[in-house]
This record gives sequence, C-alpha cells and structure tokens, in this order.
Amino acid sequence: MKTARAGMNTDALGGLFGLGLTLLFWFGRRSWSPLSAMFPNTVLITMGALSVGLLIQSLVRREVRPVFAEGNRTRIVATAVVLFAWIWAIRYLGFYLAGLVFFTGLTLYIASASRRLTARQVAIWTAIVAVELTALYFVFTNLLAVRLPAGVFAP
Amino acid sequence: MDVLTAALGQLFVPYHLAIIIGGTTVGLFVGAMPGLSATMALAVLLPFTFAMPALAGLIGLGSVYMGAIYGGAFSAILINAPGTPSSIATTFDGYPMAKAGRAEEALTAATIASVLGGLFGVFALLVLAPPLAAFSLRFGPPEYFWVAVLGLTLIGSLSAGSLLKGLLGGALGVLLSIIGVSPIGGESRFTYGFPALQGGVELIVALIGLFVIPELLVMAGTGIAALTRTTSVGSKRKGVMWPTIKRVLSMPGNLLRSMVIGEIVSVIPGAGGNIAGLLAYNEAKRASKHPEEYGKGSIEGLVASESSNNVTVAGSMVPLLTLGIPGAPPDALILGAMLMHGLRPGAELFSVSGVLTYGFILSMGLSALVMLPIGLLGGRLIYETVVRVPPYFLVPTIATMAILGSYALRNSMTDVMIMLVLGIAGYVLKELGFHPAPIALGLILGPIAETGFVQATLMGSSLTYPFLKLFESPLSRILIALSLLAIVWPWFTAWRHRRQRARGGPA
Repeated sequence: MKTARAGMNTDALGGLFGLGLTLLFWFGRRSWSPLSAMFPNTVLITMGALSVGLLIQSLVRREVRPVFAEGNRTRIVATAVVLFAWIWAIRYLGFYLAGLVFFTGLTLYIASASRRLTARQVAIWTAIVAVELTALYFVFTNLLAVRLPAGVFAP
Repeated sequence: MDVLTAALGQLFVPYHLAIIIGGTTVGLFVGAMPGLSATMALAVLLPFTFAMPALAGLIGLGSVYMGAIYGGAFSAILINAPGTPSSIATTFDGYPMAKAGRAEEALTAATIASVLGGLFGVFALLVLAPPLAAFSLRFGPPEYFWVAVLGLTLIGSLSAGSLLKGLLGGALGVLLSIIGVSPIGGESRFTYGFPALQGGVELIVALIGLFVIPELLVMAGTGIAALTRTTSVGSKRKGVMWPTIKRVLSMPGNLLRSMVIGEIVSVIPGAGGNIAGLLAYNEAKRASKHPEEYGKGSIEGLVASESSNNVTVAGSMVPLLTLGIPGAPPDALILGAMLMHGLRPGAELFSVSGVLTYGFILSMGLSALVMLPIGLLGGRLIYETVVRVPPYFLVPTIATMAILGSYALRNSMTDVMIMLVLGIAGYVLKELGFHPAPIALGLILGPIAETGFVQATLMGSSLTYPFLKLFESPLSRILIALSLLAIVWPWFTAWRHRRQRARGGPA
C-alpha cells in the first residue's frame, strides 16, 4: 500500500534530531564526579560530532527520499495515540479492564478500515478478546507470579 | 570415561527424560514471548528445584535455559521481536525471510543451527573447560573495554545504507544505556527529576520498543499482516524441511566459525549470547560470497546468529562450573541452585560430584537434541497461528504482549512507557533511515565499555597518563588489532570491488 508522497532530506532530519538530542542531554548533565562524567561527556561529544557530520553530508550530497510512505498515516498516528492511552489507562483501570476496552477498540478500529462491522461480529470479537486476556492474565499471575496492575476497581 | 558412562546412565531414566522434554518445551514457549527472558523462567522455576534431587533440579534449569535461548528465534522470525536479547541478529534475516513467505525455511534453519550450536557448546564444555576457564581469567577492565569497542565496530555492517546514521544510532544506544545510576560513581544521570528512571533503560524493554512497535504501527497503517504479504493464509510449501536441513549442513565453515565465536564470547563473563550472535553475524557477512543478501533474508546470516547464541548456554557454564563466575543472569540462578544442593564450583565438582556434574552437562546436550522435534513441531504450530490471525487481532495481541513483556521484567509501568516512547521514536528513526540494530548494540555494549574504561583508568592512576593502561596487555593489543581490522575491512572490500569493476572483472 505504497502511495506517492513528498520526499524529505533524511540526512538533514537525522542530523537535526541527533543534534537536538545531544543538546537535551548536554544540558541535562549535573555536577557529577569525574568518574561518572567521563563517559557521558565522551559519548555526547561523539554524538554531536556525528550529527554535525550528518548535517554537512545532507548539504554536500542532498538525498531526498519518501518518508512515512507505507500505510495510512492517520491510522498509524491514531494507533500510537491509542497505545499511549491504553498504557495510561492501565494505571487506573488495571491490566484486565484496560485491555478489554483498548484491545477491543483497536481491533474494531483496524478492522473497520477493511470491512463493515456487524453487531454480531463485535459481540463475537469482544468475547474472543475477553478469553484471550483471561488466558494471559491467568498465565502471568498464576504461573509466572507476575503481579499485574489491578487498578482502582480492585477489591 | 566411567564417570561419563555413569552420568549417561543417570540421564536415561524416565523421570529425567521427562524433565528434559518438559523443561525444553517450557523454555521454548517462554523464550518465544518477547519480554519473558530465560532469567525470568529460571527464577520462577528455581524454588521448585529446591525440593527436587540435585541432578533433577539442575537438569530442569539447564533444559529451560537451552529451550528459552532457542525460543527467542521464533518471535524474532515471525514478528521481528527478539524473544531474548540473544536473538537480535536473528531478526536481521529471519524476519525478511518470513515476510518473503519463507518462514518455515527460516524456522527450520534456526532449529538446526540451534541444535548444532547447543551440541557444540556441550562438547566444548566437556573437552575444553579448564583451558577456557584460564582464558576467561585473562579478561580485566581494559580487555572488556576493547571487547566492547570490537563489538561497536559491527555498526559498519549493521547500518544498512548510511554509515554515519549507523554510528549516530550506536551513540544514541550508548547514551540510553547511561541513563540511571552510574556503575562506578553511583550518581544518578539524565533522570531529569524522575526517580523511576534511576533503574535505567532495560535492554529487553528497549528491544521490544525498537523492534516491535514500528512493525506494529506499519501493520495497523496498512491493515495487512506482515507475513501474509506474499503468501496466502495457510499456504504450505511442500518439502521445505529437508532441503533446508541440507542447506544448513552445506555451510560447515559458517557453522564452525559462528560456533567458535559463540564459545569464545560465552566464556567471557558478562558478554552473552547477544554479543555472540551479532559478532558471528558480522563475521559471516564478512566471509560471505553474497554479503549484499544479508539483511534481506540470507539463510547464512540466520544460521550464524542461531548457531552461535545456542553455544553460549553451555559455554557460559565454563566459568561457572570451574571458577564459580556466572557469565550471565541465568547462570547466577543455576549457581544458586548448585549452592543450595551443597555443590561448590571448582575442580571437586568434576571429581567428587563427577556423575552429577557430567550428568548436568550431558543433559544440556540431550536438551539440544530434544529441541529438534519440539522446535520443528512447535515452530509450525506458532507459525500457523501467527499467519492465520487477521491483522486486526494480531496488532492488539502483539501490543498486549509488548505491554506484558515490558511490565513483567521489573513490575514497572515506567518500563512500559519507556518501551512505547522508544517504539514511536524507533518508528520515526526507521523512516529517516536509522536501523534499530546499531541502537540495540550501543545499549548492550555501553555499560561494558563504560565500566571497562573507567576501571582501567582507575587501575592506571599511578601512570602519568592513566588511559595508557588500556593499551598495556597483549590481549588488549590483539583486541585493538581486531577492532582496526574490523573497521578497515569494509573499506578494503569496497575498494577491491571498485577495482575489479573498473577492470571489468566480476564484482
């Protein structure tokens, strides 16, 4: 599902990204002892130099190529937002309830892009999601002894 | 010899055979789930072994360990998620093979390579344990630093496309590894006021984010599952197994080189299957007649990674059984089980408790053999499941596994958030031409390089220039030479190809 989209100079973007990150971490340094500061300083200087190198390369050998060309951009961004919301919701709803809401929601959202959904399908899929989540919950809490977040509704 | 025979006799009792089969199967499925590591499986199993006889307990732990390292290949091949850090290099060619409709071939090749690697590791442990243990003792902080540098030279091979982007990705990985408490000074670094970041960025969490989330987003965006792009659901290519087995066995040089690399790396405490797999992959690519196929679905690359990482299971037992030094976290758990049963590492382990020790070692070989039928059957089962699940179920299922895997490591929701942030960043970076492998490599090698560098500088504090300590030992110099060779080699081969092309010869 490739669509023709405007190209970008990825070297320039990569260099700017690297430089931005280098500055973020450079100003995130504190008055550490030389033992703790030695290595991060070396890495940050190296990273800054590589970023500048990439920026120079982007000017010398201008390479433009299509980015974010694969798939529907809106759906990709929406999925990313749903994932953030899912993780945020786990703290309050717990693993199981948040999973039931967001797993089902994501399933229906992605499926709706390629087919018309019927009430029967939604009911069946919700049941399948519930079974899958119950199985995972059982395996992790009972067999692997992982305490999954219970949320505010936990007794 | 008598001890070996007696040990073999101990193994072939139904109780022990059942433990080997059960342990390998459990390990395989745990390893196949991203985020569930061999360490976690062993930690869960450990309390049960206290009530078991010593040999049975150790057999159980060894089998789970062997199965888990192999199991990591399944998710690496089928969903581009390294089940364990040891299978990072498996994703490079395994996943492209699966996307090209060659998943069964990839799974079969991974199985055969893993079985051979596992057997080689056991053989080396039986025959070469004492000299290898002496070799591992020669590694001090300067040598560790150079091992990390040698590892970082792999970036040249791993960065498909731009070398500068690869190096920048590697530096980013090293920078991420610095977040948290400093290993030497003990100060918090780059936590930006978030106490939860003091624990740093866990490798597995980063791997799940960098490798899984970008694929998941693309799958959601296209609405097409990656594995059904070129193959119809349920399609079976007849006769894949035997030709693949023949193909794997027809590359003895690649197998032997990768297994030897795995053995050498595994006896160095702290350098585990992940480094072994990446180093073996790099060397296989360098020696290959078709290096351009690497990263696009080369069976050679897959075999190199899988054969070397499974050597490390028995390989890491060399320093453990002889010197009591656990080379990796799962080894520490096995050491714990040994101590609980009154077994102390050292020469006595091979003499006084010889039957038990050799029984344990041989059980790992048997576990490697058991992987063959279990892996081929289990691989097919998992493959069929992944291929048949429609993308609208697969995306949330993988997301759930990613959340669970990230959370389960330290019971931390912060880890889950780090996973997602890195995943989104990984997606954007991938679009900009940054491969996730150099970032992962930086994350793995960063702490080894830092600890080695700072400790070596401290060791050299009596010198006028303390950093000269890094160049003092002959082993350091050998590692420096190897690093330089690794840097120069790609340039040399590129120059040679250009020259051949200019002369009109074969490229």
